[in-house]
Amino acid sequence: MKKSISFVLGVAMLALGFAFASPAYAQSVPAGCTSTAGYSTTTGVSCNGTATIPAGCTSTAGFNTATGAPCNGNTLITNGGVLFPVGCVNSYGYSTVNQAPCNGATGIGPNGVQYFPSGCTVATGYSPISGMSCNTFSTTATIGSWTYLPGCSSNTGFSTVSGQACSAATYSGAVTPTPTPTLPDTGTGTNAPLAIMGLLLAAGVAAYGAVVVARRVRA
Amino acid sequence: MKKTKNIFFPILLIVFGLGLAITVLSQVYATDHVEVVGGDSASGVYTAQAAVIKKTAVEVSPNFKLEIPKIKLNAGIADVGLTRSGEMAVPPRLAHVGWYKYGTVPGETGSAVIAGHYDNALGLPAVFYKLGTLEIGDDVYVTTKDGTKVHFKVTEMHTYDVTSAPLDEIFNDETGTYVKLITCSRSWNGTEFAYNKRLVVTAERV
Repeated sequence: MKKSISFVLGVAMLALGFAFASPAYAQSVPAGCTSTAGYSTTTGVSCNGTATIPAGCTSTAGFNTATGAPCNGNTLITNGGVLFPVGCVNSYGYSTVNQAPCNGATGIGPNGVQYFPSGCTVATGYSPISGMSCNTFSTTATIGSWTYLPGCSSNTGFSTVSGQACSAATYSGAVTPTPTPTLPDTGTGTNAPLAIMGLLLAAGVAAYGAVVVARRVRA
Repeated sequence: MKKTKNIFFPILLIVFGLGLAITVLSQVYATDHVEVVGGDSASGVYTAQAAVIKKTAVEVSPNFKLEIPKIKLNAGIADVGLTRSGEMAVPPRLAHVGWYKYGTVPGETGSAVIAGHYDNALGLPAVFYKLGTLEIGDDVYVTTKDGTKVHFKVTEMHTYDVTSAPLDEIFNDETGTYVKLITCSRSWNGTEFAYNKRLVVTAERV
């Protein structure tokens, strides 16, 4: 009886061992991932293996040749010609889909102006945080001839992204530093007769006083 | 005590007379040269901090000067900008002329504008008092800040009403290399001197 029980348990353990050792249960993660969390830094695919390949893509890397959307499953929407991450309608706040910052910023890039998506430090590869392609984003805002820093919509105050002074905005329009002036006022003698009379009066009063003083001192 | 009382009133008259004289003279030499600074015209880069109004000290560069031999004029040139009301500023010293620093540099293509006082508040002559006596063909020399002496010859003389002067033609003429000299044109209207016209002398680089 004991032998039978031992045999059954042995077979069961062997079966379980085979079951957990089979490829169907392997805990593998995609290239560019260190765990099942986040996204691959090399392909942008979700590290939990649930990414699907959108129509128009042959893999999860690159962009959809028909729509230009990233093949990693993230989508960008347009709003007045500006691209924002999936789940965002402007550059403020966070994505309602993946919680990535909608301004895409984590810090100033090599050129001092370009901001990269969260999780990126260079313009190649994909963000391990949001899966966004690192070369698709700049959050500097251009309004008219002015280019403002990320997190700024004017040249006053401070960036809501980096805390930098927004006054570092650059102007790219025509150089018209000041308007054409009106003609200068180069004549100041409008009231010259009055001024001359004033001086003569002053001289007369002072001279009279001096004469009176001299007389009274002598007397 | 009685003697002191006797001279108190006349001394008061002397003090009053001197005070009045000082007041009149201070008005005679008072000029407005408050400037609006709009940005860095050289780089074309503007900052919020630059959009401020500030009072600047007017300085005259050692080399920068205007010479007009015919009227024996040899004057230092000060850099001037705009007054608060949008007029081209003029230097506070009646013996200096002012170059509009946001415009063309003398000797470069465009119209460099230089203005000078016609008279002071007593009606006495200032640096450009005799500008109206120039004629077409007269020589004008501007020594630039780097010491280069540029020769111009008078080509045009116009008197404009202040309110209808062709400002763009005066300040932004890019058809040649000009220096435009501006001063007031005075007339007596029966009660006071009127300065509602400006004499603009155009000299072209030789």
